[in-house]
Order: sequence, then structure tokens, then C-alpha cells
Amino acid sequence: MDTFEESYAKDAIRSLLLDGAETLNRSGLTYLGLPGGRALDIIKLDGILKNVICVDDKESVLDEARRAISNLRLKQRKFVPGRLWEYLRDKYPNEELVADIAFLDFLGGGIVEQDPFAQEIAGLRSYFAKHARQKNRAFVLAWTYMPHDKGPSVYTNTLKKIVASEDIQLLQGAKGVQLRSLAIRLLLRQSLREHDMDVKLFHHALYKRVMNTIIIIYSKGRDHNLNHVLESPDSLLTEPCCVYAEGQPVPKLVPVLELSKLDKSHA
Amino acid sequence: MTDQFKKKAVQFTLRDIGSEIIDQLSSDIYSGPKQIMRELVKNAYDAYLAVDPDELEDEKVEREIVISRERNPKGIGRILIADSGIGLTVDELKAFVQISLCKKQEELINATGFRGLGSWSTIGAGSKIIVTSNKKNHSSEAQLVIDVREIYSIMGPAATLEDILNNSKCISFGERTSTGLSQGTTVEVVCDGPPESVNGHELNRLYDYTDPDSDLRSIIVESCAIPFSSEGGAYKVIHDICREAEYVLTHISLDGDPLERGLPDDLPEPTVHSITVGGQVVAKAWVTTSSKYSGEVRTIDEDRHLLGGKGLQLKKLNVPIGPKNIYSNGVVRATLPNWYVGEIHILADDIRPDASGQDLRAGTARETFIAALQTFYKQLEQQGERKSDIISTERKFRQAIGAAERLQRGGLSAADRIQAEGQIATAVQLIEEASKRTKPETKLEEKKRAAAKDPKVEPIRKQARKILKEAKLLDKYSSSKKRTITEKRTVASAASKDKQKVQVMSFNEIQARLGRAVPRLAQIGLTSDEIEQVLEIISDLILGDR
Repeated sequence: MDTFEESYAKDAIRSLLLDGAETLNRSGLTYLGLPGGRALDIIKLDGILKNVICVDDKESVLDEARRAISNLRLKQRKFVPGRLWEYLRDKYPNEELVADIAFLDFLGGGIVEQDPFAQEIAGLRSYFAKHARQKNRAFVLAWTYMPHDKGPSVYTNTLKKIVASEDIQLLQGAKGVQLRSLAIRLLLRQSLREHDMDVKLFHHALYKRVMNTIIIIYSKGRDHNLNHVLESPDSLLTEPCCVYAEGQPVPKLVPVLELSKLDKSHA
Repeated sequence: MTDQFKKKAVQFTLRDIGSEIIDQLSSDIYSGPKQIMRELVKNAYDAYLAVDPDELEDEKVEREIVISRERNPKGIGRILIADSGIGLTVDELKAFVQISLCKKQEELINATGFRGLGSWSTIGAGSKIIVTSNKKNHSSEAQLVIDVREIYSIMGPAATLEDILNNSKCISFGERTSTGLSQGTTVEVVCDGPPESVNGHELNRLYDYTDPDSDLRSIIVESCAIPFSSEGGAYKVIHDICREAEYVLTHISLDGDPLERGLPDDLPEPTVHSITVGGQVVAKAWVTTSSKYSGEVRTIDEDRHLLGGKGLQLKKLNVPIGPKNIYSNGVVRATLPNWYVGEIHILADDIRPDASGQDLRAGTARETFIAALQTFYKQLEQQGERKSDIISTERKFRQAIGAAERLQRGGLSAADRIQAEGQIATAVQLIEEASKRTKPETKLEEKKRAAAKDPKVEPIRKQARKILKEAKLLDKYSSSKKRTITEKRTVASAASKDKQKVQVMSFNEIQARLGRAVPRLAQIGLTSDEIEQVLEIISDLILGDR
């Protein structure tokens, strides 16, 4: 399959990311993420961006990205070699820019560490801690993850350490995409709660049971420019998933707790 | 009878050209950062000329050259010059390394990069030059990599041009599937460290300017075609001249900031002057100068105005040629051109910059043009002197009014009294000069009279006359009894093409589009259940009657 035709799903996510970012109702935004060599996310968001921070552990990918966005009029372009979670944990706190749009896009799965979630959680905490200092300013966070990880225990074992036991019960019996979707939402909810932030689940897309992308808009204190009413982090557990099934022209909204039915029907 | 020479075929190949020819192109002609940046920006400018302006408008592609730079913690610096112009295929990229074969000048009207030296002219800029290009409506993306360090390490008396051109370590081409999302070309100058000499040849010449804190902006302003910011007001005459000079407005940005020039607010609207040779207009100039001061323009804020200082800049297609006030030395007073801010745009085709961009190409056209330009400088000098005379005359009348008041108040010291009387006598003399009807006898007299009679001076002259007369000082210092009294576009239209396309959407695309609608439906207040119902209705509509 041609590299650039596979991506209706990815392009739709980029469009949703743009839609989400536009609801912030402010200009000169900063993007942070792993845009890949073609930097399609950034190209899609051109027009609302002022600065970009591109992170990738392959310098050759950064070189490509640099060229791909060379014709965009941006104020600052930063190309940081390294892994995104490490960047979030170690360098992002001292970064002068604050990412209005962060796109944690891990092709092939983000959570594959030997010490599951250690880096990821530290990275997320560092990210949210920095953003919590920006009062009354909403941000967009998109996170794409794929179930190419080391299995459900990666999620459950880690979550046991950081969320309340009644929440862990939600994961009981869950597996496949449901477990992962719930786990990621629990993780995000936890971080948002820690910083007393409100949130809107802008979109949670599940493509062909493989690509899972969650886009949230959140802020600490009310952002009067924002086109959304934000709710408590608990709303993350009630908002449905938008399931894009193969061969179906119309996506379906499925409550996150019913996602397991998809696994069964697929099985 | 001696033997006649018989013709013998001798063929030349690239092996007969020494590799050091490259150094002649890159070092001797284009040594400095200004020359390198000019070449790179010119190429980007030319990339837009090949695109139908209607297409650019239809697709909302702005003519813009985006320059960005970066220095990473390892000390590797980069400058990227990107355009969204026509783009190049691999075959067309080959022109970057061909020498004097580029057909740009014949193919593109008013292309600026007409010397056909391609990337060789800028080769010493970095240690590597990477050109990546997406041609419009072309399925592949092309790349050319020139490894300058490798080339320089091979170059020498023993190496031929072929040894370089056909060595894939020195020059390599690549191709891959295009995303189809953008078109245009990016030239990336990579400097792997500070300037250094490899095998006697200098590379990384732009290294210092890869530091975002370095002043690359001045280099660009002084060497590239930077447009003025606005079409209207005082700038209209400037834009009109630029258009007449066939410059197509192309924006340039550096590190996200647009580079746009402007004039200090206190300068009046520029005046337009034609420079002619044999009755034909070969150049047009716009000139403005401070209306308050007689000397140099003092109010330029280089950060805001990006004028590259005061003075007059010669230009071809809006690209500066040489330093300001070129060819004025010895013709007019050295400081005089700095009394003005302005540009001289060459309109004639046969008057062109030379390869260095610092001078005009040799020939009779150059000589006759320079003579005409020097006549223009002299005219400006006369104007400048006249303005100076006017301002000085106004000052003398003001001084006389003050002196008359001081004399009337009394109590002046002898020295002050002499000074005041001198000021009054000078003013009275000027009042008399203005009223004379006879022909001036000397040049000085002519100048004085012209200044005193100038309409700008008239109000203060009349005021001074009145005050001096009332104080009976006019008669006292008068040398004559004669008294007389004297007195004073934007066309833009583009037809958009109606393109009717029959679109066939795949399920995937419909699905993606509908997915995008979900947050919007939520935003207008629909609950998840309601959105799901809407999606079901759509699903029925699409699939129901299949």
C-alpha cells in the first residue's frame, strides 16, 4: 500500500487535532510532538502555529522534518534528538515555550519499557506540572497509542500504584482496546485531578482496533477564550469512543465500558 | 612548397577540466555571506516565476521565501531557504550542478539567477548542501545532496571535474514518493562547524549566521529583494516603480518574522525621477528626504525600517547592486546622497549586475548608464543645496525676528548688540533680494534670491518684514528703497477558473469526515446518544438502499 494513502485515519486525526486547537481561540500556538519526517501534523496545523518543538530519537527523522516544514513561517523551530518521554521528563520543564498542542504520537506503541510506565508517568507528570502553572489557559493534548505493548499487566500493575483501588476495579475483566482505552483515560484523569484541572474529551478515536487516539482539551481555571465548557476529570470515564470500523462509512459511538463487545465481536 | 596542416579531430571531455574550476566559481566570485544569501534567495524568487500567478492565487499560495536557521547543541548549524514555487524533478535538480547550461534566463522572463552557475556559486556556504524539492502535480519528491567536504578533499590539480561530478560521495540524487501536500524547494545549508579550510578551500562560510542571535537579517536586507510593507499611501509610488522594473512582490521571512521595509513617518511621500539615456528611460528612482532638516536623514530605525541605512540604492529586479550611492564618488559631495533615502531601479534589459552583484556588467551600456546616473546625482545635489539654502534662509529670518525683539527690550551687551544688528542686516538684505526684479549678477546672488523667494520661506519672510518695519529697522538697515511683494494604484484582478470535479469518496474518507463532525455535534449541544442517533441516520441514508 502506498505510504500516503494508508492515512485517512491519521489525516482525520490531524483534522480533529486542528479542530480542537481552533477551539482554543488564540493564535500563535506552540506545537510539541513527534511529527515524523514528513511533519504532516505541523503542516496540517500551519496557520495557527508560531513555534514547534519536534522530538525524535532519530536525527535523520528530525533532519527530514526540518526540511518538510522549512517553508512554514514559524518563529521558533526546535528539533530535539531523544525520546519524547525523556524529553518531557528532563527538558520540557526548563523549556521556555509552553506547548499549546502536544501530540504524543507513538507509532508502534508508546508503552514498551522494561520498567513499565516509569518514564511515561514521569513524563506525563512533568508535562502536566508545567501546564498547571499556566492558569486560565486551555491546552490540547493528543495521545495516539497502539496495543503493541507488553500486555495488559503493564497497565494494571502500574495503575495499581497510582490510582485508587475502586478505579482499578474498572479494569477487571477488561482487555484489548477496552483495557488500554480505560487505562489511558485513568492515567490522564489522575494527572488532571492532581492539578485540579478541568477537561473536555474532544475525541477518542479507535481505528480498526489498532490505532487509538485520545484528544483532550483541559485547563487549570477557566479559559474565557475557549469554545467549550470543561468538566471534571471524571467525565473522561463516561465519554464514548468513536469507533471507525473497517468497511463501514459511518463511525459509531461506543461507551468506553462497552468496548470489550468489539473485541468479542471481532474474535 | 610546404605541407598544409590537415584538420585532426580532438575531443574534450570533463577530464580535460580541472576540478579547481569549482573554486574559481565559489571563492573568487561569491565569497561573502551577502553574495551567497543573494544567490540562494534569488533562486527561491525565480521558483515562483515559473508558476502561473492564477494558480498561486487559486491555491492561496503566497509568494514567500521562508528562511530559518538553527544551531544544535553539537554545534551543527543550518540555514534553510524554502519556497513554495514550481519545484524540481530529479532531472531538473541536475541543473543545480550543471555549469552555464541553465536556461532560466531564456525560459523565465525576469528570472534573477541568470548566470547558470547554479549551486556552485554557493557551495562554500556549508559542509553540505541539501536541496529537496516537490514539483507540483508530480508524484515524487527529489533530493540532491552535495557533500562539500568530500568535494574539497578531492579537489586539486590532480582531480578533474569528472572526478567530482560523477562521484556519488560528492554529489548524489534521490527520489521518493511525494506527500502531495506541498510544493516547492528547500535548500538546506548544513555547516558542521566553524569556517575552515579543507585542502586549501574554505567551507562553512555561513556558519556564524546559523546562530539565531547573529545578524543574518542585515545580510539579507543588504543583498536581497526585500519588499516594502504596504501597497498604499507613501509606498504606492515605490510599488509602482518596482512593478515597472518587473519585480514581482515576494515576501521574505527570517525565523518567523516578515522582512518588510518601511519609511520613517516624518519623511514625505517619495518623488519619482526618470533617468534617461538617448531619450529613453533606463531607470526610475524614488527619493525622499527629511522636510525639516537640511542634512542627513536622521530618523531611520533600522530595526523597523530595514532600509540598510540612508542613501540611494541601485537595484535590478529589486535586488541591490553594490553599496549605497554607487558611482557617486567624486561626482557630488560625499555626504550628499545620505541626505536622501531612495532607490534607483534599472528598467533597461541590457544594464545588468555582474557576477559579483557589486558592480554593473562591463560594456557601453554600463558606461552610458553610469554617466546618466551621475547626472541624476548632480540634480539631487542641486536640489539638496536649494533645500539647504531655503532652510538656512528661514533660520535667518527667525533669528532677525528674535534679534529685533531683543533690541527693543534693550539692555544688550555690546557684543550681543553687534550680533543682533548683524542678524537684522542679513534678513533685510534677503528681503531686498526677494523684491529685486533685475537679473542676478552672480551665482551666489541667484541662489540667495531663489531661496528668499521660495514659497516655503514666504510666510516667515513676510512676518520678519512686518516686525522689522514696525520697529523701524527695515529702513535703518536697508540699502534700497524698492519694495515688492511675491508668493506658491493597485490593479489586481485574477480570473478564477471554474473547476468542476466529480468526487468519488471512499468509505474510509466518509468515515474520517463524519468522525470529524462528532466533536462539532457535541459542541452544538448534542449528547453522545443524540450524536449516535445522527450517525445512525446517516448510516441508513448511505447504506439503506444499497
